[in-house]
Order: sequence, then C-alpha cells, then structure tokens
Amino acid sequence: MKWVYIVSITALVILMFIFQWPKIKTVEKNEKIAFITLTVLGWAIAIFYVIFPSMPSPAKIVDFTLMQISNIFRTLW
Amino acid sequence: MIEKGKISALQMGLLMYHAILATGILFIPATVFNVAKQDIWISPILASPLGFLSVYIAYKLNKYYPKDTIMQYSKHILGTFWGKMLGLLLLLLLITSLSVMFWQYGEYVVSEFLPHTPKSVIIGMMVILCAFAVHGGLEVLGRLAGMVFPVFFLLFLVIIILVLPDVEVKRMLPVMENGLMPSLKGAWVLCTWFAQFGIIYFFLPFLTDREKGLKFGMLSVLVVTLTLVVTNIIVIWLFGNVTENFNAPFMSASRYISLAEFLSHLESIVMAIWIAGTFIKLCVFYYVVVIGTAEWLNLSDYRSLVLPMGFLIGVFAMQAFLNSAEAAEHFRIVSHEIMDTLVYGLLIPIFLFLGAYIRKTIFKHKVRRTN
Repeated sequence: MKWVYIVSITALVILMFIFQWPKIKTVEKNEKIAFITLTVLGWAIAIFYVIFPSMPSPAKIVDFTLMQISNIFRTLW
Repeated sequence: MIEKGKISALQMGLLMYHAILATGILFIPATVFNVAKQDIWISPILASPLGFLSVYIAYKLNKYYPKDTIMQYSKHILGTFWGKMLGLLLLLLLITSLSVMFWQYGEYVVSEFLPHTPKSVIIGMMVILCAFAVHGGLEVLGRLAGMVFPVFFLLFLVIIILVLPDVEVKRMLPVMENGLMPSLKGAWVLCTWFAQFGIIYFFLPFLTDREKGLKFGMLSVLVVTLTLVVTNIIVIWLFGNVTENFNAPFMSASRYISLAEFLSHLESIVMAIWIAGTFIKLCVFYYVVVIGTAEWLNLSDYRSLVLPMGFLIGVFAMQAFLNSAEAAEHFRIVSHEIMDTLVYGLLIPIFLFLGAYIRKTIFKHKVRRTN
C-alpha cells in the first residue's frame, strides 16, 4: 500500500514542478535554487512520513522543546 | 521591496480580525470554560491588553524601520548572523503553527460535516485554494477580507438574534463567585489568541496610509474583544454549566435554533461563515510564512515559493497529530503551560524592540556627544 502513496506524492511533486518551473524567470537563479530545495525537502519529508508514520511532527517537537524550556525556568524559579 | 501591492490600514485590520477570530469563535468558549466557569465573558477583557501591547510593539518597531518587515530589521538590530538565526526560529514556529491550523480545520470539517471524506482531500483542497489566494498577493488578501467581513458579521448577528429566545440570564450568575482568579486564568488561556496579533509586523510596511496603522490595529483588537465577549455571554446564557461538554459551543448553539418549527438546522450558516473566516486566517498565516521565507533567503519574488511551501505545510498538517487525543494534549500545553504564539507574537518583537531602542536612542546619544 505504501508504494501507492509514494507514487502519488511523486506525481504531485512533478505536477507542481511542471506548473511552476516555466513561470520562474531565467535570470532569477536564487529563486530556482530555493524552489528546488523546498520541493525536494517537502518530497523527502512526505516519503519519510509514509515509510515511518510514527515519526514526530513539528508541532510535537515544538511542544517538547517549549516544555523543556519552561521546566528549566520553573526549576530556576 | 518584495511585495509590490499595498493594502489600506482598514484592510489590514480586517485581515487581523479574521486571523484571530476564525478559530477563536468556535473553540474559545469551551477552552476557557474549563478554568473560568461562568465568568468566561470577563476573560477576553482581561486578555485584550496583551493584544494591544503586541500591536503597539509591532508599530513602534515599524516606526524605527518603516520599510522593513521583521526579517529585515532583525538583521539590522542583531547583525546578519543572529538576525538570520532569529528569523529561522520565527519561520519554524510560524510553519508549525500554520500546520496545526490546517490540521484543526481538517479535523473539524471531518468530524462535524464530512465524516466519509479523507482528511488529505479536505486539507489538500484548502491548501490549493489558499495557495491561489496567496499567489495573488497581499492586495487580493486585503480585498478578500473586506469582502468576507460584512457577511461574517451579519450572519454572526443573525445567529445571536435567533438564539435570544432560548437564553436565560441567570445562568451567568453568580458573577465572580470565586473572585477574579478564575477569569484571570481564562485570560491566560486567551493569550494564545491575542498574542497572534504580533504577526501584524509583516503587514505594517505594506500600508498605503501608514499613520493609521496603529489606529486600525488597535481597533481590530477592540472588535475581536467585543466579539469574543458577546460570543461568550451568549454561550454561557444558553448552556450554563454544560458548556464544557461541547467541543464548539457556538456551533451547537446554532443547532439549538428552532424558530416557529421551520427555521432550524442553522449550523450550515455557522459553517459557511466559519469556513470563510478560516480561509482568510489560513491565507494570512500562509502569506506570512511565504513572504518571511522569501525575505529570509533574500529573494526578489516570493511567488515561486508558494506551491512548495504549501506542499510542505500540507505534509506537516497531515502528520501534525495522529488522533484527537494527541491534539487535545497539544492544545492543553499551548493554552495552559507555555505558548508558541506568545514567543513569536510578543517575546521576539519585545526583544527586538529593546535592541532597536538601545541602538537608536542610547548609541545615538553617544555619537552626538562625541561629535
């Protein structure tokens, strides 16, 4: 079942690429690099989440970090 | 400047109104009721100074650096490296916050209205819709907010008037049974929402009438406070002590309406205004994330980032929480312990403001004296 998700995510990313790439002007090199990096990052994270569904989400990581910081403050109090 | 469009101060106020209230109007009464009991209507009044403070700090920072958003003046204040680091922290918090909002939207629509639709479809559709709006730029968002607000407000009033036959004022009594403390605790919960007014720092440089920015920002906080007070009063008049049994009491209140036996099931109206408001809210935060990233990377155009960013946020939103129990734990942490919105809405701006103040006043004095 997992490969269905992987194939559809890849198809979505390719569609996004086809839609957006011609619209970036050829002189804007930084834009192209940023676009490719973000797209690849999003694709990789999506694949990781498909393969390891129990990987923590950013919301939980932020919660955990903030809780740690507040605990430090509480012990200092 | 990266954004070529301009909005008026009024449109900015409307954008902020939706950005705060869209989720608040549904979830605030039940969340605050856990601590404040029948005094929930006092809490927004007590929490509103925080909103005023966030807007004021953002305005003061904008006065120091009129043409820059926070990503640029953090570099001016802290130097390039630390400015970039602070910008990265801000972006990560905003992306996380936005992914939670998308999750909340998806979860709510699935649980209340479309139980058989997969959540990925609902979130994906909303991401695509928001991506088109954000691609249009700030002017589009401003006009959308101006278009949605009258409908939102009118239908809100209609619901309130239709609920009125069922209310009972004595459910609100005794006022301040246990002193001011419960409503103060409720106000602390509400800080999560009021601190979000801080993201106004992304809009202030793009105003056509910048001198009115403070006025309309403050007005927006005031209207949000009033709307929350009215919502909370109506909810408590209608439900009294059973408020906590509802996830979204205002929605349940509209289910309650049955006028002359033919005007009933008005929850579709609430859903309509809620979807419209949430759409604006998500667009505002999406725009902020995209333009923040583009400025952080020193790009000249932010439009190419809209789709990849949307994809990333969609993935995060899908995976934000595995089930509602985890989400409830998250919302308990952010509303009772320490809040991420407080960090990016108030603490970071205050820190930058202190830095800017030291730079602009104390060091300037020194320079003048040596001259």
